[in-house]
Amino acid sequence: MRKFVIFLILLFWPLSLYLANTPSDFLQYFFPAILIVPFLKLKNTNYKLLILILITVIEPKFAILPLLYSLFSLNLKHSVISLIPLFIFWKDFYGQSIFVPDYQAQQEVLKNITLYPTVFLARLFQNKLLVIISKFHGNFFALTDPNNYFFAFAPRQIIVTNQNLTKFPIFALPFLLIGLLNFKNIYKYKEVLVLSAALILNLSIIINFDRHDYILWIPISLLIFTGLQKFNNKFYNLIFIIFSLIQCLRILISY
Amino acid sequence: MLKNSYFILAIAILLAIITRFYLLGEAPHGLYLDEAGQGYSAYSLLLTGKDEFGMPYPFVFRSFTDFKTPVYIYLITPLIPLFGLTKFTVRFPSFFFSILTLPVLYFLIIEITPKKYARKLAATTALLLSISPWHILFGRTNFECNVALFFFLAGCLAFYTSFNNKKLLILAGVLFAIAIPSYHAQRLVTPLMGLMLLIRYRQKIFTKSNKNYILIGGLLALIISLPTLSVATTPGFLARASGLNIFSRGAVGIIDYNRPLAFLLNSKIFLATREFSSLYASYFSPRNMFLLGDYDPRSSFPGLTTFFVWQFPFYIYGLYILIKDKNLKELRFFTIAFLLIGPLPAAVTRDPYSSIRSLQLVIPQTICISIGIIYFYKFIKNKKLFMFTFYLSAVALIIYSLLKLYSSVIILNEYYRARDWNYGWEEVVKALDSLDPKVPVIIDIARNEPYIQILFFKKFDPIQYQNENFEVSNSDYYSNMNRLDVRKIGNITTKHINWETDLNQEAYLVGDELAISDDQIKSHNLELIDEILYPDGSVAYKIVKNN
Repeated sequence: MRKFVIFLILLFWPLSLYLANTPSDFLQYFFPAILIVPFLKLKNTNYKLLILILITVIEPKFAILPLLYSLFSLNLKHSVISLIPLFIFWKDFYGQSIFVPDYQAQQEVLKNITLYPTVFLARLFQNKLLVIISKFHGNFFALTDPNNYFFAFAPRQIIVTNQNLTKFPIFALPFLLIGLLNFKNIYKYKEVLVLSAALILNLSIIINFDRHDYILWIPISLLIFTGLQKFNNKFYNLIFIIFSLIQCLRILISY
Repeated sequence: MLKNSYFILAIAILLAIITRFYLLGEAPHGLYLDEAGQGYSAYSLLLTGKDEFGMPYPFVFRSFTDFKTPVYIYLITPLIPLFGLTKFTVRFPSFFFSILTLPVLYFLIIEITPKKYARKLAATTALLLSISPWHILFGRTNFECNVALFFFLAGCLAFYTSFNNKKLLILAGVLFAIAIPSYHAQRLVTPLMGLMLLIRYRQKIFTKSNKNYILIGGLLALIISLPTLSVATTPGFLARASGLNIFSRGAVGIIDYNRPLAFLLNSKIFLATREFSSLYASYFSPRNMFLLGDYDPRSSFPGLTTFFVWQFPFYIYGLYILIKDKNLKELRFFTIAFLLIGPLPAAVTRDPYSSIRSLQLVIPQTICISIGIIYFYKFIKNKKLFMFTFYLSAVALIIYSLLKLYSSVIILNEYYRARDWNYGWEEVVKALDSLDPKVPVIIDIARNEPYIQILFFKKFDPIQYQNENFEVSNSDYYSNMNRLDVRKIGNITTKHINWETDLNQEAYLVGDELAISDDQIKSHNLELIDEILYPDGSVAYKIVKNN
């Protein structure tokens, strides 16, 4: 029964991603995500860096990932090497990042500035930097939102720019919470946490993270498995399977 | 520590007064129809002993057949002789009880927290609550939820202190009983939390020496609850709950699929479980708490959500500590129970992240942030440089938060949300007062219920209004849901403008830009008397005269 629960946890995200996209699009998102498995398995840090650079080659939006991971791991040598892929793919990366000037948002800032009685207040709360920061917050909080992963963003789906995919079974949410509380029991927890932080930060600085967030599939699944290990209740697992099968059928029919 | 802690509490109260009292009656400048409704019901009660429908001292107020809870309206009534029927008056109880909440919360935390952290945590929580955008919003505007939260917390404080002073059990019963009819959400939160506390402390509470106090407290609570209970099964009382809850409306997420398994895929249990779970989880979502806030423009300020972004790491850390650290004992039980029960009334309604129905959550979530800050402080305590940076950052963050509040509450809200706060009716009444009183006035009701704001700003005689407008008899007050389409307020009639019959007589017509467009003015040869503008310069209402 437990293996079937694990199977269902792993099934949802790739299934909905595959059904909602063309096979070639699916592969574009699948390859970076699946490379996380050898990344976590390998012990040699040089190979790890190589895998992150490979991810960058497949998807230039992850060009800053090797640098972020190396910095978070306090590996100075790798940080310097990581600048190379960032330099090579800089144009592609920058063009897809939140740093690209947003004319409409800047006009809004200029309009709001006129409402303030003092220049200091206007500059403090209405400036171009805040446009970038608010975009970063928008992505960051969406990526750390449990409703994103378990309820397809319901009840506040992102309109147009996100497919709002069903990523994990609803009843896996308690497992995630238990996993978070026992994060030290996660398989290679330090690496998983550092990698997750680097991934979330990277995804937060690209304009639209939709579907690219699939790269979080393995780290989040590991968190959920940790929760499952701690809370392995047969009755709950039975309810989990019944509800998840209904959800799974709904995915198959919806897309 | 004792002196320091009281000093921080005093600063918290001072900050709370500044952030809530500054332009209390003026920002928002508009008066939303619910605010006007509560104010005029209180005015009518004061002058006639009946509400505007002629019902003597109602248990729930009919108003717009949304049947408003009574406590707030009865609190406004004695204020009218002091301050008059003004925007300030109708918002004053919210302000007053939001300030009182701070010391109550402070002493409650001291009661339930291990001594080691008690004063620090109580003072930090009070300070954070004083600058909380969530608590300030409902402390500056006329919403019943803030008053209800005060009575609930005061009830909890009385309950915990009754362990040392048994007589306070009576007070706890009374305060809980007042909290329940104070706001819809407390009809669920107070009984559930009360039940949890009673089960947990059954051996301490149900003793021989407590018998009399329990009986008196219970009896008083029953007497206070009797009026509410007497109308609890009427359609009026149930209107709010049945109209909003997710189980009474059609299910969300039905798939268009008619094959044999349809009954399973679209089963009510599955869909309702999914919807409830998603709504419930949304009250813990950092995205809602720190980024989006409430989507209702009156339940949030522009650019501000329920918490400040800088509080996010402390919230996560505090939540982790709260669940993990068993040494926090009663604080841990109370906060977790409150966290779990708090979102229930909001999660059974369809609105995503309703900050008004979940206001009670501001308390446990602020406690979590405080725990995060206290433990972080503990972590850096012995490092001098870090300590200096900590205090400097704390002061900078408080100043930044206050300026951010000023920016959102006073500047942006007035500019962007004037329409949502029904801006302009005060100006319409002023303009109408300067016109020929013999000429009848017709006010369009296509998108508004302006009769209540007209009554409010004109301070119209309630007896005359009751005599000229019959909506329902007293026996049908709680059950008949029909409403008047046409209302008379002296020479003013509020109704849908009829462009054929209403032009047959000389009259002033009032409406928004959709009701009275420039084309209509031209084609009907109307004279434009006045235009009321929103702060952004767009037209709010037009007053025209037919010739």
